[in-house]
Amino acid sequence: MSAVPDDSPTAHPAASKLITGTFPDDGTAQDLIKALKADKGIITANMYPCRGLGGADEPGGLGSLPAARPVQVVSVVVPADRVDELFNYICNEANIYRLGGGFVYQSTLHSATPFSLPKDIKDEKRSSSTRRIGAERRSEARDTPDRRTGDRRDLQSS
Amino acid sequence: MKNREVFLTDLALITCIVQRGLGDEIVIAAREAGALGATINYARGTGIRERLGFLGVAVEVEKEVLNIVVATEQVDIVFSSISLAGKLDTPGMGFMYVTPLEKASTYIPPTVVEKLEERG
Repeated sequence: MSAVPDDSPTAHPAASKLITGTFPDDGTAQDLIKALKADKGIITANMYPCRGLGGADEPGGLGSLPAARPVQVVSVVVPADRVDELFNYICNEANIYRLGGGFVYQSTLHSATPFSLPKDIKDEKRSSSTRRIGAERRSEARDTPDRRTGDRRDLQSS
Repeated sequence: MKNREVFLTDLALITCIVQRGLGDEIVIAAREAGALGATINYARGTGIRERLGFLGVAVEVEKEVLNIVVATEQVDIVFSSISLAGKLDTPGMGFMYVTPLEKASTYIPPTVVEKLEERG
């Protein structure tokens, strides 16, 4: 006999995958989480800040690291039968196919419990200042030439 | 072939949890062993200080969590390098684990994609 009641959500864990993405700190992660909810109904996404060191970063001095950049890591638990669709969606929505656009990887999970939100609760409104800061950061990222190549190489537009 | 259709496979994720302040040293060792990048974030966990306590109050210990994606053929050498650099065989220094990855995607320079196409 199981210690978990049969009507508990944890009694029937679903086959799931974990998609993790590392993105530049320009608002991409916030927008991705919103888009996942709005377009795909995925609410099992979490985001946390990190220091990031990329392989293409200019090396530091002897025995030292290049300057770390702030990045945002998004982890999303998705149903196994939708993993390919959502992996491609995340890659395209976050526009990772550009230099410095980020890195997305997928791993398998043994199981995961379902997650749902209470009904009849409205979304929290984002303050106008938060929206403005996010838009400004993305605008700066678009306008700034890449320091490694001297130009912006965006495969999405090519 | 469009860049967006290229997936990387045969990868593994090394996650290493160490005392705060030791992360950079470990990332240097991992890069010297062939790892390309890493992400570092902070966490709280259990450590020597918690075990000893402070004036009878347990103290949570600040940790650094390192995530390093490497090719499966590099896992062993990077794993060993991290273990040595972090002195993970010493009690209380930290621990790490490897998670297999199914696939990954990122920006791949067009020249590399062309070479892959040529190889078929």
